Amino acid sequence: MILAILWATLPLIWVFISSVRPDAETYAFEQTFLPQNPTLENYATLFRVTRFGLWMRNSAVLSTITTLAVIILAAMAAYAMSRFRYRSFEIFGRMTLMAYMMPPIILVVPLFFILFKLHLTNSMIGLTLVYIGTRLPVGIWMLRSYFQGIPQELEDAAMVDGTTRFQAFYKIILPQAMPGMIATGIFVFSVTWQEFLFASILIFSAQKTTLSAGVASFLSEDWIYSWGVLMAAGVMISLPLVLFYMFLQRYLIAGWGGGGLKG
Amino acid sequence: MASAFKKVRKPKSNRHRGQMARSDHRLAILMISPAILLVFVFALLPMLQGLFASFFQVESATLKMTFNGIDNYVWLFSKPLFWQSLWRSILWVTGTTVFQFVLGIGIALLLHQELKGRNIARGMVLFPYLIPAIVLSLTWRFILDPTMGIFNRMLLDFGLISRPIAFLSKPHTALLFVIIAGIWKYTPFVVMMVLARLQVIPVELEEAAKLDGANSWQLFRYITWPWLLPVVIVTLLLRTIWTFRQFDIVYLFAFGGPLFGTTTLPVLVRYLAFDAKQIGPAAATATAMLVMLLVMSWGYFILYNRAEKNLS
Repeated sequence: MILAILWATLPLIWVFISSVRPDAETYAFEQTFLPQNPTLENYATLFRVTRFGLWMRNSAVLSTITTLAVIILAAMAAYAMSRFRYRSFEIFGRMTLMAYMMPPIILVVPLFFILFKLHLTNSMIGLTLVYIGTRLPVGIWMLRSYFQGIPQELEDAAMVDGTTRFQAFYKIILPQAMPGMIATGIFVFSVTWQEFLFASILIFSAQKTTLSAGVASFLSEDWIYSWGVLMAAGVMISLPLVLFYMFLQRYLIAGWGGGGLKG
Repeated sequence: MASAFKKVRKPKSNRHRGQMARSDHRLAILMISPAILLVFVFALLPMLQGLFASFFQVESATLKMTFNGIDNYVWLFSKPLFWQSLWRSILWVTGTTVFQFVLGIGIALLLHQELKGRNIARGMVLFPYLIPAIVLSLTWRFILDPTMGIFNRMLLDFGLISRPIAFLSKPHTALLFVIIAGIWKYTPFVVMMVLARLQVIPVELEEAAKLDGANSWQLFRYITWPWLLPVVIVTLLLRTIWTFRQFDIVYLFAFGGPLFGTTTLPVLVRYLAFDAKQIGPAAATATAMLVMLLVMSWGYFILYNRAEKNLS
């Protein structure tokens, strides 16, 4: 068991240790496991010298808007699909499943041309729309099974008491579906936060890019990089996801079990 | 508009109230249409365009399209690079999934035992799954760095090598380490799935087998394993598909290099479309991937049905 824990965490511990190790020690011939003079210098450099702070803000804005939009739109669609069983909705359901299995690499070239025609290449709005459109299928899929598990009697009772169906939806059903929506939200946020492919192709200016694409440009440029700074970047990118996971673990497991999720 | 939406089955709630309210019907369409619009424009339309483009010659500067039948496919299948990428995809998929499952099932069985600190261990073991591809690539590039990396330092200290090796500059070792990184990142997913199934194993089955004097191997072979099998197959299907289409991890590790050593099919699509400016063949590669995915899902579906049947 200790071996399993070490195998899972040692590389991460190493990243963290290296992020607080001064470069002089990283590059030294003799190295100790723990840094002799731990420092936050690498983090300071990361935010001062590179555009990391800007990218982090871009990613945060993009991921937040995408997540909120996906939760709202997917909840409405999933509700409509679970309560009104039209043939056309059923067909849409099948199509979302297919869209969900679709490798993103298949979509990226045509997407580039679609955005080009809409004058939305190199635009964060364009990228956000792409994220929403490509994340909606998984959102709908996760939430649909969730809504199906909520008994119809709940809203029927409310509607007999005179509320409209839409009121019943957001006053009665949405609170019931909260754990499922939180799980969906975290999943969408985390895949969007770290997304690389679409961002790297649909955005081409360094001001507008996201964390993954921005940091990847360090690796391809002939930037003489400091491993300490890169490891600090690694810690900063992972941190929000690790924190989310620790605080919202129970929702995640409930939601993932319910929706049959994949990575 | 309304006539386009044929009613298949009236919702239960309305049965006693006669005809479903018109406003409900409008509301349902209103609620679903933004999702339909966005999914259509940004997911389904590009997919269809991709399929379509694979039968055309596309000028990368003007986007002018000329129909050329199956020329893209003929061109593609005549290129060794395509077959090499396919082979690397197969290596990447089988290498990562096999070890993910061996390790994942092993760890799950271990974490199922009544051991001290089990809950903490369960939490810790899942961490790699949270690590973004870019961080994964940074981590392994650092660990394997020929001058500063811990891996080379350790090999040197133990006297296993006499001078540092640039693992990511050689096609074969680069692919090997991408596979190891893939195993590392996704084993937790298998652990999670198998552990969830283990927790609902019927206790009577185990008890009965123990009374009959089954040893722990027999217990695993005849009780636990058949119980796990359906989940293992579903997880295997998901992992195979997701590994096959995986772009970020493989690409960020070494950008498809060295010498195309880590160019799997998705990386090849990117290379063809954006570096070689061969949009038609890129679309053909993507379409070929799609066909392979469909075949894989179909195969697993059959396996799954068989496993479910054996259980009952």
